[in-house]
Amino acid sequence: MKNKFSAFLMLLSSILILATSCKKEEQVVSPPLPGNEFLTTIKLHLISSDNVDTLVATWRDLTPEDTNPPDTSLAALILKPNTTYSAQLELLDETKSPAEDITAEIKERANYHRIFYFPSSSLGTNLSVAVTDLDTNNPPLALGISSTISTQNVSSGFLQVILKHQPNVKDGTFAPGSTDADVKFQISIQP
Amino acid sequence: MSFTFSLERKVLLAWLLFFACLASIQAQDCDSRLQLSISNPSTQAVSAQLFFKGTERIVNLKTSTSINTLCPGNYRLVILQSGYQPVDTSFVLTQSLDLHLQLIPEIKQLHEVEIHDDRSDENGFRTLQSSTLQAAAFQLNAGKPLGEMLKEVSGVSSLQSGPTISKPIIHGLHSNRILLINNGIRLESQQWGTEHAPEIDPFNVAKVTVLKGAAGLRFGSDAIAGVVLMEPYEMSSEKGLKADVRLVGNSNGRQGGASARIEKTFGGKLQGMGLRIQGTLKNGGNVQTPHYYLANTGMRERDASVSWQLNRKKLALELSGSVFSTQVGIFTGSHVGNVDDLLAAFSSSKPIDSVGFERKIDRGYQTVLHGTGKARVCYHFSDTKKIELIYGLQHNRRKEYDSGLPYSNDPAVMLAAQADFKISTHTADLLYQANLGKHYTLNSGLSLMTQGNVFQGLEYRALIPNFRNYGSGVFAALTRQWKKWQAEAGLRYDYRWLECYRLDYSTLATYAVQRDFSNVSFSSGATYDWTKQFSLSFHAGSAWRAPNVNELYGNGVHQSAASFEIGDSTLKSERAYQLSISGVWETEKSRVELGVYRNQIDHFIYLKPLLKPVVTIAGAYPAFQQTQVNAIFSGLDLDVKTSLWKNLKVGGKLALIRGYNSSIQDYLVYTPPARVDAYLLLEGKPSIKGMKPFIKLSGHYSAQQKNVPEKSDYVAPPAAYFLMQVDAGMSIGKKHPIEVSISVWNLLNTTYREYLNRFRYFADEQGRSVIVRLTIPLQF
Repeated sequence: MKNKFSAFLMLLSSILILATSCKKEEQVVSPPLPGNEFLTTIKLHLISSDNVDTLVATWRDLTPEDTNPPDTSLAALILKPNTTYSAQLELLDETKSPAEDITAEIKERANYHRIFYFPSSSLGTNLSVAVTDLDTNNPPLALGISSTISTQNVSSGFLQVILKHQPNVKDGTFAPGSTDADVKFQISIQP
Repeated sequence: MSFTFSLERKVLLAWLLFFACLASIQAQDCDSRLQLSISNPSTQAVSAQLFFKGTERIVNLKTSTSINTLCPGNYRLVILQSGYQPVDTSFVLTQSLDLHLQLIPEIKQLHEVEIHDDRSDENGFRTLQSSTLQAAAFQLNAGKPLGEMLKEVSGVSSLQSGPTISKPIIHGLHSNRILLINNGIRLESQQWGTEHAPEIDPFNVAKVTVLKGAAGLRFGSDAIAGVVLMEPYEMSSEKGLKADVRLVGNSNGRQGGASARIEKTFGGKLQGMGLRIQGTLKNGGNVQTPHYYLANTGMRERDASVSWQLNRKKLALELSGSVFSTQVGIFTGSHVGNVDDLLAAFSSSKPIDSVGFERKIDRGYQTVLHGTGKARVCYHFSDTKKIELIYGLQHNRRKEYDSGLPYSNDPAVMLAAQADFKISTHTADLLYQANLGKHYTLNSGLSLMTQGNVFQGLEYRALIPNFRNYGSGVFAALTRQWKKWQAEAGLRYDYRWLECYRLDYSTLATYAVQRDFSNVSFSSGATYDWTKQFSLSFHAGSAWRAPNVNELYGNGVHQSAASFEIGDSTLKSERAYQLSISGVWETEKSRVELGVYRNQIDHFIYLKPLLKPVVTIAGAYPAFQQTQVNAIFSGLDLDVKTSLWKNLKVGGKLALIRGYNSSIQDYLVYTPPARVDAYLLLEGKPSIKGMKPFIKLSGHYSAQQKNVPEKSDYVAPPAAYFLMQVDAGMSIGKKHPIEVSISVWNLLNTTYREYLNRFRYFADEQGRSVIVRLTIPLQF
């Protein structure tokens, strides 16, 4: 009985040795895959129709896993009343240097994306955005990287910019798909 | 010429002689003797049918009968005694044979839950509330995911993520607080995930025992809510070749499943050796609610298992291996960008992206590959002492592909998974069981475990980090038997060491963080057999659970929950103290079981909603922080059944649970609401080999959960609902009967949402499903 008992114990210890001698893969932590871009920055570039004013507002969060709110002091625009601006949206991954241009990716997959612009109710009709670029659908649907922004009277509020990801479900409306970006730019229309 | 003629004659003569001999054997005196003795618990006389060469002879048996005028040859003996399992045995009679037969009271077939009588085995301790489902009853739910099949047991509900992903909840707790033991090996995978279903093939499960309560003593840490023990079919000890094919078809999702099993058991010198090979294939497409299809809810599954066993008088050996592989589509409507998306989905009457039926599985989906290897040695020193060593090796590879393609041009990145987990686990258990003297039984053991986890994938923030852990435990329990009493007590000590490896993203250097945990668990209880019909059990025990790596270090957006979950690396172990009392009253016609329990969990880890949302580039997410509080889960399970007339049975179940956060004097979110089930069962007489034909009508009522804390959920719990179901079955054929069963789930095509389905924000539950099942035995 004693011999059989110790036989079992020996079996157990040999299993132990076997198990712990395996290679320790977990000690190698894989860094983020190169070439995987993700969004950190959205920039809104405006040029007035008379080519006098050039503006840029930047919404940036370089530490997405940090629960502290990002610094959005640069995500603000001061616009002149009764003016028309041509606007370009730029999306970047600034964790890489040089920064990776996501805008190009979105243009390539234009049929799966749509950018919407929603002025806040405090701006009312004093800010309107008309999207000017199209995708390659038949008939073509709006994309939203290029647009025209027109202002009227003095007011303030914010402009909500939403990037929707609509694989195979893009139909021109807001509802389908899911949100990849949703940021607010502070707008102040003043002389 | 005369020579050949002579030879031909000789050959002819030889043949004539041969046939004469044969004839003479036939005409031989039929004076073989057959002695039949029967251990008959019934007082009635037993009548047996003896078949020989197409003739039938009725033998009336009391305890022993002897027939002296039989011819030698092949015989078949059949005894059909009402209330007992049919006896059907074949034997060869030469000169004389002593045949001992045993009448076994009938096992309640198919639809009834049985309390496990033999508690002296190492599976659990008798005083702990438990329920057992035998193979036929369990397999009657085939066509559902495993988590849904387990709901048949009272006190068990399920946490769903859509129609194809389901995991069991025992008394309100799930995931890391339940142990799933499959064929003696503790399932180790990414079980912390609420949308990670158990990697077990239900076709390979014969018996399910659910231990409800702090079963930590025998099984170690984590068994706070209970343990689900799943055992495969037992191998026959007689020589033979058995095979069967099981087919299941489900109209909802147009799902088909097939499982084939072949088992060879040897005789002669290799008596006790058996080999079983089994495989399963499943394929399903989009599932349907009463009003629309759920896009991308197809599934695929491919499993295979091999088991070699040798069972001798003193020694038992087993070598088993299995592979489980699945691909599950994730309902596209559940992929939300942020809370606004989620609320928009909830307020629309049907999912925004509408589809029809499709079998194709697109991104997002999960793929899981789980391999298990087991080696077991069991040695019986004597009838009353045995030692067992079980070694298990598991490897789990889980990949989750988001529906959103990564922003990249690199084709390798485009094909990669957002989350890619690889976890390998070695377990070794040494168990020693012995009877000490006349009244005591000792159950003891030593457990060792080690695990390594590697996370890869596109997600910038690791959901859980790489880690290595080691665990060890030692336990001993004594059971004492008196005339009407049985009492038990046991202690266990566990030690766990965890090392996590993380990457400092700025310096790209790897650093390690260590934690260790040690705990004592205990278990004690008593059962009193008050009368022949009534017994009362009491159990008090404790269990503990170390915080899981995702609770410690997880930090980020939980995609389909549209929430930002924040871990806490300072979390302590949870400790549960459980009290339960249960009573069983059983007569020939009826059975009532009532159990009440209170499970107090100190340092209970849960996600507490924070006041301020987390602002990210994709919008604002409500934030939840892993927090420790003191929680109390209490409840009641009632199971009643009775025979109304000879063949008509009626029964019902009631389960009530209350989950309370005693630290803040409020309820806990995601506690299952009250559930009531009732059924009417009509049964017919069984054929010799087949099952009893039956038809069963059942109803299920789920109340609305009204006890929900504020701000912990986006949407109020859904309304109460009532579902009906019908099941029917019979066997076809006499010699090798085919078992057929048909079920219609959600008979009334009711539109409803289930509180414990995380996809209730986005869509209704499944509509009517018609399931057909066939079990076909194969002959070789």
